[in-house]
Amino acid sequence: MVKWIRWQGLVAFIAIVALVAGFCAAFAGTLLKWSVESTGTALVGARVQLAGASVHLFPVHVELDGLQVTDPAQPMRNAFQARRIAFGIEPGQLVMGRTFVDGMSVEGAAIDTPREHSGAVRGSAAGKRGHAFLTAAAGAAQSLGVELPSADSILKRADLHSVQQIGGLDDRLDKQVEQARRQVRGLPGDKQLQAYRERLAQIRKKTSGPLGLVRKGKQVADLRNSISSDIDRIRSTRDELSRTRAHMRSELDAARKAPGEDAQRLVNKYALGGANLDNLSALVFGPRVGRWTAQAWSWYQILRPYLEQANAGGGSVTSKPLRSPGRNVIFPRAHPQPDVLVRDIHLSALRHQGSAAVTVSGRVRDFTLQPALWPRPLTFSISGRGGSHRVAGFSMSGTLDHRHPSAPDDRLRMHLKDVRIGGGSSGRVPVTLAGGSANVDVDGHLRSGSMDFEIRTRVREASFRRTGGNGGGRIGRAIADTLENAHDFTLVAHLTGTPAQPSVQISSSLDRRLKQAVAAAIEGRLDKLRAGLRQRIEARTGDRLKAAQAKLDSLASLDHQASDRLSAYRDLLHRLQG
Amino acid sequence: MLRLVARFLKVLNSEADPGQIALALCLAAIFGLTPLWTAHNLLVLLLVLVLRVNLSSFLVGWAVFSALGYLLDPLFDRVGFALLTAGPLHGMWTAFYGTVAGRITRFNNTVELGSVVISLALFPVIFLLARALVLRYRASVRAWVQHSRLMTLLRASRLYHVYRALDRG
Repeated sequence: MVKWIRWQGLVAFIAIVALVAGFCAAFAGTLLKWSVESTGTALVGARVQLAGASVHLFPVHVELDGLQVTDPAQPMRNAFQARRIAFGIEPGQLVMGRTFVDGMSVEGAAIDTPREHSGAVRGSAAGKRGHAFLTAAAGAAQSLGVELPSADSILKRADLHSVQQIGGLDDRLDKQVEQARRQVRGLPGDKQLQAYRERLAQIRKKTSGPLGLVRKGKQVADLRNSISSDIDRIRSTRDELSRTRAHMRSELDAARKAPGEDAQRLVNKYALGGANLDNLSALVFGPRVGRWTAQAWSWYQILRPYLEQANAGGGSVTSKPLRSPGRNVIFPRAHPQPDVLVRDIHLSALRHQGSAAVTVSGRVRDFTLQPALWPRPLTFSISGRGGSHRVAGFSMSGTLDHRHPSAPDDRLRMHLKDVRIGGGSSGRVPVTLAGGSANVDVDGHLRSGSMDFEIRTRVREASFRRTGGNGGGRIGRAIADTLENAHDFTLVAHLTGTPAQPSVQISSSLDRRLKQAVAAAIEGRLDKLRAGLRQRIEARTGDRLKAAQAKLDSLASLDHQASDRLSAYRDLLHRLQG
Repeated sequence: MLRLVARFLKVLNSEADPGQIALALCLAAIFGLTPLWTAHNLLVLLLVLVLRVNLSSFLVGWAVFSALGYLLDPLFDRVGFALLTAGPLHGMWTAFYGTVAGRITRFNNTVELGSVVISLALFPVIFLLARALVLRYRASVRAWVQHSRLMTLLRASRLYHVYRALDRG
């Protein structure tokens, strides 16, 4: 009889399993390190590095050491770093394929720290995020010219309303005059009047007998009715002519003003931009605001796709088919829960972390990649302070509420203290902000794709420096002169619209001074430009305006004819009744 | 590798029970056709070590069926998907998905389920076929092979020297 059981095989099985488990345990840290670095780098678009990682199984506990996350916009600086990250994972949830972390401790957190080597990654699209904000903010200034164009150059591309208005009036007067002539021609004229006079003379001849009297009475009544009817017709026509004449006169008066109005409109549109002199702050500060908002938006875009993962567990969902790894068919769960959840992340700074670092502390709660499956939104309250050369401290708080994927609601309130500002161009103005310090307050929300943010920047000890050359012309020089003497001011940017098509409105406490300076600089030239435009427009419209006036005079003449006729018929009726 | 093939030939020619050889090949089919790092393969490994199945046959069979597994992955995917999305089974799958066993076995993966189902379905077929082939080989084919020209050539090969060394040892 063959013995089918080999008990020593059990020992071999245990040995093999122990060997494999030991191998995994020994290299779990290394595998985790590689996984965090590769996944993080792909997520951020710049290098993510870990000095080391360790995994303990009983209980399940993970430690990550020396995390550095490169800032994609500045590869020689870290956007974030942490000395040590430690967290435990609930084993019960882990068996069910979920990663639930009750509390995560992040020690030695800091932002904006220097790197030893560049963390740039080839082919990253991070730099391209936020482009719409740069365009919107710069575009608010692009439409504002810094040099006055000539009248001829404006007229080449302008659409003249006055030409259309006067031409239309002339055509209408043509028709009105023709119609009025027809009406007056159709009125009872001198011939009819003479006929009535003859009938009256006949009636006045002596008659005898009662029949003669009766006959005469009837003739008088008939004549009176005929004359009255004609008077009504003439009066009606005369009244209509008067009304038409009054209306056309007021239109002609408006048409005479049209060339001047056109000239002013063109000065506003082409010489000073669509926003007139009220948008000078956008001219100066637009590109800078655009850069700040573009950078903030690019970080939000990195996080956003992971907040909007679908899969609320409502039905069987199949993921995209892969090759030999197969497809995972997801079944509905009685109590769906997210696959990844970190209930509480506690950030703390270490003492003596280095004078160049902005240390970070605070809390982030309810972080999950499937917010629709968790009853609470992600909330954060983080502050930082330190000796960074760029910012002395900051605090920010808010919520990222993506529990309803069709109506996400993100709110942010942020304060940056003593931000060093300086460098970069100021668009088309020949002056650059050389240095200064600012406190920045941001408050707003992004709700269902529409945003409403206010960025208020209080600038102190600002110093502006001319960039040389004659860029910007007279307006540019006027702006540069004003800014050279500006040291303390407030800048307010209002972001609305959608992230794909943002609208940026920029104003500052320097607006009034800039406006006065520019207006003073170009006042004489503006008047000259306006006069030049008006002269050229009047040259184009003068002939038609004269023709319109002549036609109006014709209407007046016809009106008088109708009035004269009415008077003659009334006299006749009066004589008949007398 | 040569030693492994030589061992397999030795097994075929030896007095190892045909049932042990066949069972080894059946377990190799499950091990090879299904993805390697799965919970059920732990059970298969335990059975291979604890039961008196022929290890050389198992190892050779694993290599052969692993190669077949890659080629049959599209078939496994289609079978698995059909089973996982079958209406009458939806309730059962949903209940199983919410259990620890369901998450550990990863049954909701189309290739995993399809390969397990097909390999289990082939189990009796492979067993009976393998057993019959071993018996037939020993009864008639072995003698013919021994006297064939192919065998004369093989005797000059390295494989045969290794085989003889094992046979003597």
